[in-house]
Amino acid sequence: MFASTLAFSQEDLLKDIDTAATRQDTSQPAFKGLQVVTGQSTKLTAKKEWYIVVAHRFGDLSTGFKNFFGLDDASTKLGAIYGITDRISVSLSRETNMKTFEGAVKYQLARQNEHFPLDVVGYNVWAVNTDLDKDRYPYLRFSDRSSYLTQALISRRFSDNFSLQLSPSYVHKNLYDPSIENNNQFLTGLGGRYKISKRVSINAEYFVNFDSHSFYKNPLSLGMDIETGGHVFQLLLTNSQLNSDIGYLSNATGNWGKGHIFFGFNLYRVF
Amino acid sequence: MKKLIYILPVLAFLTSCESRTYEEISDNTPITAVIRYNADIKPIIESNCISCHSAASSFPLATYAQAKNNIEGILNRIQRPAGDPLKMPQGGSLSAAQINMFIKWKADGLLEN
Repeated sequence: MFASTLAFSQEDLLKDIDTAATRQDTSQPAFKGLQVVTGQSTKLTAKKEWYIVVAHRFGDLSTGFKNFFGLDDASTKLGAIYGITDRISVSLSRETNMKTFEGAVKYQLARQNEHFPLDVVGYNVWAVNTDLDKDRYPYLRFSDRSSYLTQALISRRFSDNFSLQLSPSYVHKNLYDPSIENNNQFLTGLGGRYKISKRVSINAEYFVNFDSHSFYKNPLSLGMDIETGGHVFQLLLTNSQLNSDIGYLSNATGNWGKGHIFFGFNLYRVF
Repeated sequence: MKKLIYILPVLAFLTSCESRTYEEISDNTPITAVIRYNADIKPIIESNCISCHSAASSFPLATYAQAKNNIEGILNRIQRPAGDPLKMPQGGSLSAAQINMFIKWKADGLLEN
């Protein structure tokens, strides 16, 4: 099936470039990428479109040249996203860190147009940590591996160049460490994009975790979207090395002030 | 393909949402025996640490003296929470029973034999 999608994509490459980002019946989406930086944006895939996601997060930049500024410690995320309709997409991905599988559903509830000022999108994730094992945790059950995320993504495109997004989020962890975190966590994110040229935009996002999390930091990330034919390429710097949605939000350990930050990129290929 | 959207939430509900702690799923039976390097600690280091901390590495943990002299650092790193990039072993964790062996080894006076 992949081979046929591949062949199809070759013929239709130019068409994809023109249609992937535009919709006829409404204004342009607030974001070009499916993610603001690492957090999800209000953009969805188009109907019957396959996206392949390849994303890396490297190691601590402050380890310097010995570790090639973190490039020696790469964590990879591979995934696929499919647009069931223009308003609903499903995705499945797997990340190196904690060997996490994530299934997610993203669905559009409202669209910004002349009559309504905002894009509103719901996003639900079920993550399964397959790194845990019975040798280390003898009383482990399958349900202990699960964690859940529910997000409401609310964005507004203020102009062709500038968009903002608010992302209230709720994380539930079936397995947690009560000395450093709660099993239920509420966060709110603020993200934005500013286009500096036809194909490049600067993005930023910050999530505030309202629950006790003295050990883990609030994630703050800066990114740059670069559009190439058929790709959106996102380069980023972040204090949260984990690249699963839940890990990114709730397990950030880096510190911008001390230079403990991580370089990474997200790459989307539309088929 | 459309079915997937129905299957995913159903699967999510099939798994429980009850939260448990790492402690609850770990074996925390107290260790009563005296812990010794050669009998107890060395095998743990050899199967979990030595691949990176070999005698030739920049931070060797290959001998009794090296393990003994670095016990504070070892205890610090192996007990860090999941997700901490400084947690050892890299990308994983020792079991609670193994961590307790290191703690008991120190309490027993870091014996070799």
